[in-house]
Amino acid sequence: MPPLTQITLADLKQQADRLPKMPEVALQLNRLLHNPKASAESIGNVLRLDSRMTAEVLRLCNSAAYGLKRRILTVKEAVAMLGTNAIVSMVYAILSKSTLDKPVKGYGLEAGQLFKSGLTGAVYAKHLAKKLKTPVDGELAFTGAILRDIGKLLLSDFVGEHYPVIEALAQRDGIGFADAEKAVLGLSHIEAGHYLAKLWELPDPLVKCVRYKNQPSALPKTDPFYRDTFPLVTSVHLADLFTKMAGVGIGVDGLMVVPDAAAVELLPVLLTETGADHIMADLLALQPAIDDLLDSITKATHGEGNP
Amino acid sequence: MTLAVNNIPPPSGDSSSTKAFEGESLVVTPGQMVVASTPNVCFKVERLTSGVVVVALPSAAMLSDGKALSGMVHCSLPDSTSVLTAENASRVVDETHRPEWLYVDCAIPALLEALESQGGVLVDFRWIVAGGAQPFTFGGGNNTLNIGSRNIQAVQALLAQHGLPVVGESVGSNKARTLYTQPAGVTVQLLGGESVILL
Repeated sequence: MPPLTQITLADLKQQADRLPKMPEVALQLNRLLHNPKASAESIGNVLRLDSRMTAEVLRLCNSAAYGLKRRILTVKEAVAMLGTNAIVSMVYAILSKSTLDKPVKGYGLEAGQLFKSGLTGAVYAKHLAKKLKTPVDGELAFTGAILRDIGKLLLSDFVGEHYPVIEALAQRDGIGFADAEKAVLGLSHIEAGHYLAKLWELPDPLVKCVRYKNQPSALPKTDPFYRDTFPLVTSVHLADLFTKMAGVGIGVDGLMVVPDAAAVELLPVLLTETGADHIMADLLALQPAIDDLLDSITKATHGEGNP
Repeated sequence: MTLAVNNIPPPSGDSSSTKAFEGESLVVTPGQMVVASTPNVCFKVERLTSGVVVVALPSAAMLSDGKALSGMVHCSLPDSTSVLTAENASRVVDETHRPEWLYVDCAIPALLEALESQGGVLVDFRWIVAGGAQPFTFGGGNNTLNIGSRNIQAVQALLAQHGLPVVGESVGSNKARTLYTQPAGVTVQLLGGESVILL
């Protein structure tokens, strides 16, 4: 069927302009992280340009969620103690809070739910990243997962207007909600997210997480970093599925998603009769840690706690 | 309000896991069991997907006899055997939550025992079941992520084993549900769908 409407790049730009501006420090960090060999020192130098971000990162480092035995006073110490990737994932978690915290009405999400879903998926992805046949960096999986649904910020108004048609098509044809969005609106929240990830100049692995989170097997095998990127995107895909199955921050798109068979094969335990139960049990046990992290990020971004 | 079996925190309490009360409703989260022995107790479960809730509400005869006992459990998985381990049993938020109550095979017997210990006669209750959503099948009908339907099967089998008929249910599909109970009835709101009066 022809789309009922055709969302254009101009429409997406208009929606993106309504979002909080990406701070300069984040843009610089994004550019820096395009180089996989970026040094801890250079990352620390970028963070130091933004005293507010530095203070928020240090508050988070010193929060209960990280449970460090001594107080961290500088970014340099933080990088030395927790590692570069952990600090980078903290920065994205803090940045995501302000962007993802608002209501996303077209998807039936009240204020805070998209962020809660993002953060839960992020913790799940970090856990799953270590369980895959080809393990990947957990911090990168965390960051990819927290950003995975940014496209919903751009498509919310359009989905709200056309929801009954999108939903009916997904149910009738047994296709994912995102595929039904594409059929009805001309593009999906996946493509909208891809647009936003490029606009924000996110590092390539994170752009891929957003672009292929619903279907890792669509990642071109010609991708020069395929061997690392496929498991990374798979960890985000599986985390997204389990977050939905746990009902965290779930919206009107519900569980209208088709798991990717190739991704499932990367976590062979899922192919056993009760393998999904074992994974779900392990992920549900992470809930207290997720609650602590959510609380710590909220306090850090509200200026509570010691920087 | 007095709640038997579990000492629910007072209405002023608020944690992201227990939620405490919202107005007159007690928000029930995964792994939680509540049993209330006074009338006008309302339960709420938000955005339920693959998990399952089992509600026992007093029958009209019980209410007319002044027995306003009611209860609910919220489970995430069907069977604890070989799945519940020392490593994943860390979810102890408060007295109303227990790691084993995440599992249908542990939570339902616990609910039945709690209701009976408060003087309830199990067949006198009105039993309601909701939840069990799941994603589409994939890879030529692969259904390994069917936790939702297995949760429902486990609940139905256990209730049938005890001769307890289900008088209202909203199960399956791929949509999230929010469930509200009042002494007089149960309503389920499908997210992005209709509102269904179960009782």
